[in-house]
Amino acid sequence: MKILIVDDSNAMRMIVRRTLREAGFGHLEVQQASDGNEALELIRKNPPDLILSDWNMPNKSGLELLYALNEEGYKITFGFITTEGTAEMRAKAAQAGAKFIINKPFTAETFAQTLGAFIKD
Amino acid sequence: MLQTTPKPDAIALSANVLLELAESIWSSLLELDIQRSDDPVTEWPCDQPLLTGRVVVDGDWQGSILLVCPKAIACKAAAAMFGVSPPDVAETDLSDTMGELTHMLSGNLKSLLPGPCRLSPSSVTEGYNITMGNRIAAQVFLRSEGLLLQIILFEREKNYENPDC
Repeated sequence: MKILIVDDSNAMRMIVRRTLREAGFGHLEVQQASDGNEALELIRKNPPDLILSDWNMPNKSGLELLYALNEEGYKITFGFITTEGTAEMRAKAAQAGAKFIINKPFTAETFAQTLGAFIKD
Repeated sequence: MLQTTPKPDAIALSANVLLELAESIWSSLLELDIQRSDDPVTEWPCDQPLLTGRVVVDGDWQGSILLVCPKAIACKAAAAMFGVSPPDVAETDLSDTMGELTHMLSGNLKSLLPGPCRLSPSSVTEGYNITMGNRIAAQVFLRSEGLLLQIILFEREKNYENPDC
């Protein structure tokens, strides 16, 4: 199973990788992208099974990435990891097909609980 | 547990809310200690290089959220995030970490502000880079690893142009 982490902060991508390991998902293959455009290129070449994306990013935001994936017909499990979790954002994310929003800061327990339903060994 | 429900009196945010947010970030992501500093702060120690992270808020509520942090703490935070020792932290990683910490604080505070608003990308500058003039809606002084930090929420006052907001 492959996971794609999309975040413009290298520090946050590192933290997400570390937290995946701490949550018991260290055995999974992980790819990284620094914005929606880079993610889209990677997905077209080698689609992952799960995408963990930041919301606010330069060039193409997480929501724009999700819209693009929908337009291109991809059915990849998509979740946001973001500092912002307003009701409006949650509604937009759910409407676009996102399965979850994890708020920053997060813990390994949150990852295990939220991602456990979508990650198969 | 962080509060996420918008509050009508959000611009009267207490220092305790800022403390709670900082504690949450410091403990869950950085594993560094942090507590409120109750000592009155008249001036910052001049022997400590500082970084200031800033996110501008625009919308129904306008202002800016600032994190002032000694470089030494930013370095320890970056080391924790990147899984390296502090001397191995690159300057770009230091700025990235400060920006992410400031944005995390801001994103969580945003849900407590009245009405819809947008956050700018975070910017990070060297020094105590604050221009006074706007109303301080909330602030707190903290200590992490014995060093002083400050979180300030400036509310933009009408008809006042200020680079901080």
